[in-house]
Amino acid sequence: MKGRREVLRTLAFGGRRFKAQTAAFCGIRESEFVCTPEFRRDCGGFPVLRQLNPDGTLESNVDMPFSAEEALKIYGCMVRSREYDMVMNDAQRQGRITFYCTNLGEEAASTASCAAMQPQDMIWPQYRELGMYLYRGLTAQQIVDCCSGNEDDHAQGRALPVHYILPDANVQVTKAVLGTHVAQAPGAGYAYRLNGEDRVSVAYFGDGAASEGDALSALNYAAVLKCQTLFICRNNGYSISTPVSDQYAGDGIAGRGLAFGMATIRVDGNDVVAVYNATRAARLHSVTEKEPVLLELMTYRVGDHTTSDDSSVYRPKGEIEGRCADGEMPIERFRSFLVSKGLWDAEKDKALAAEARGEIVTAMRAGEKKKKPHPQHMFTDMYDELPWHLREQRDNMLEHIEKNRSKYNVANYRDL
Amino acid sequence: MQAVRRQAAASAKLAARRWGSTEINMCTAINHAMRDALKRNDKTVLYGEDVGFGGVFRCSVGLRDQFGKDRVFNTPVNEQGLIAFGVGLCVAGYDVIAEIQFADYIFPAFDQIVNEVAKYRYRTSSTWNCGGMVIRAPCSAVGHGSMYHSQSVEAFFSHCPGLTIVIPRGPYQAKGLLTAAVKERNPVLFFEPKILYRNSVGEVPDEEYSLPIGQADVVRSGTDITFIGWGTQVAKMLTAADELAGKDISIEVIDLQTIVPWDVETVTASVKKTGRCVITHEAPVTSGFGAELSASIQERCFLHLEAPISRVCGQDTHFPLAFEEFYLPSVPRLVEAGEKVMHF
Repeated sequence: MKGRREVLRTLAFGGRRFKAQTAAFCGIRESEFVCTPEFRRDCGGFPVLRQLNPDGTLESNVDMPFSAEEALKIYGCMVRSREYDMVMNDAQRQGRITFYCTNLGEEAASTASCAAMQPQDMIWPQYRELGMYLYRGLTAQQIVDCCSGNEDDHAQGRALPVHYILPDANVQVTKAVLGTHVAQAPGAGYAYRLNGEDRVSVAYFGDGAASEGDALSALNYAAVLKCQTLFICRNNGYSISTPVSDQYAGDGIAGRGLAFGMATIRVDGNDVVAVYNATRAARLHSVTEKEPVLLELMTYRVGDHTTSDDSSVYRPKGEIEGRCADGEMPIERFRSFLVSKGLWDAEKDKALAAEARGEIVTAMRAGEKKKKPHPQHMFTDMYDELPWHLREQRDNMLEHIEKNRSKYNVANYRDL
Repeated sequence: MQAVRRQAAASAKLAARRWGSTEINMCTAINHAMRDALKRNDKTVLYGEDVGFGGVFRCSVGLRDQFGKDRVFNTPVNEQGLIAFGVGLCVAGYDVIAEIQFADYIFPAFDQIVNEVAKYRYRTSSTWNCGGMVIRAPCSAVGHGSMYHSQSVEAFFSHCPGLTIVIPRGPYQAKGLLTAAVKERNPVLFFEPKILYRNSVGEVPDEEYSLPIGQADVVRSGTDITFIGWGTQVAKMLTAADELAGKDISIEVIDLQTIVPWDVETVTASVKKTGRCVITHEAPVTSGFGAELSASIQERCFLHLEAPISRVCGQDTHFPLAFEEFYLPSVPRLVEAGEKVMHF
């Protein structure tokens, strides 16, 4: 916003010449006066950053941005995400856990973006970022303990499956309410700016969550209050059964970044290299310029929304196969690249998949046998100290259980 | 618990004696509590709509100049974002005083408060929590506020586990309770009856002091009926008590101060003593917090009751500008209820 300034320009319009003046009103960019009404619709579109092609080759101006060791770490997390997903999805179908949510097709979007961050960056997930969680150290056993709701679950079985948390690795808990976390990340990003920290907060969210009021609030707050925050939208084409054509009319989610005055980029979300490079650049921008950045990662949800969904009911026939063809999918594409660099081969791939599968199966067997926590933990962590009314309710409940043991599944709980 | 209460009350009195006190109104008392909080901890921030210049009720006057625009600042007009922003700050280790401009406008933030702020500790097994957050909002009737500047909203939030709700009746309570609320490691909703900002004036210690959260205050001792209320209603209960004293009815007046978790010991001791109870609040009677108190008191004091528990509350209508004097639980209605309960 600039002070008043008069500029005389001549314009040609249909053969006639006009003088025009510009003046600054509050809160808008520099603008000319015009004398013919003109309605604008878009900013001219966003190009999509792609650096690793579906055939596994890098664009000529791009070098591999990470070491071989890092590349294999990223790939390992992506494969584990897929293998763990398959086993846990099956486990739900067999009735061994109540619910599961896969990440199929989006392994690059979460893993590669997380790999480009620093360990101190605080992440708020949505629920389809297993690759990110694995990169930050989530183990197969932790996955199973959470999904089984047993006494080793960090949340003590209080939440649904897939509600992972990594307190020591700066990953907030996954929760079911949609989009609420997107507006929380800027608060931390603001604190990091005040503290002068080399640190960003990060919020992952999908194309559906982007419609929530909280997501729009988030973009405005972060931009106005200059927060060191990355907004990473996985635009995967669906919000449960709602295709993006029913979700928004604008230019994806990226268009909103411009509306709120924020640096924005659109990326091929299935391209490990582009996602990594874009996130790294975004992070540097955010910390250096002390402002937020919006990244829209274009990807595709291969699996159902969750185990409570059957997408064959609403997805056009052949769509999944079409989207998975020709190296579009992230794991296949990155594997082609690694193989071409001599870093990987078919035998290693088979062994990795088997190893991953073994890890989750072993964890599942151990996890299902564990007990649930003692029900007194229904009342802990409500306040910093137990208030009188919860103490009273807890004592009444325990007394009731003691008198009615045969009517409850007491054997499932530790020390009950 | 009793020892804690005696100590807190004593320290407040000591503060007044040792360092002096000044007669100020409730708005200034709140300003001082926030100033002390910002001074006490560098990682405390105060923000909300129009907070920067001093706030629409002037509660934050001078604070931006004293503590800087990074710590005392305006937000965009968006309540859900306002509270969510505070959650992120709490996670980053900050204490937050978030101002909602009117309690009537807190509802866009209802999801953040109920589903996020209240649940943050529980769903992370205390790894993170929103205990550093105080949400302040002016509430209750002001004489000319109508539907959207007069609401008392405590009942909506009292139903949500994990929250603490505090409502002061005057400047001395406001400063002490707000100081305690900021120090409290649980999220607190601090509703400030706006009519009391200027109308309620009293001696307030100059130095910092706290009053205990979760403790009610027996403002006036009596033997025949227990009157329970909070905020603006406390002065009305005292006026009604004076009138009833003229009719030989002795009223014990309790200011609940903390709505949840409420002081069951003080309340039940009083009702067991008097045998009669009238609960009063401005919020509509149906499902108001008086309903919870009534149910709980009769469970605990049934054999001591000489009459049904009575409630004198706002009507079950929206807050009507033209009919405010009939909408509100007025002194005449309180006197009438006292007589009815006494002669049951």
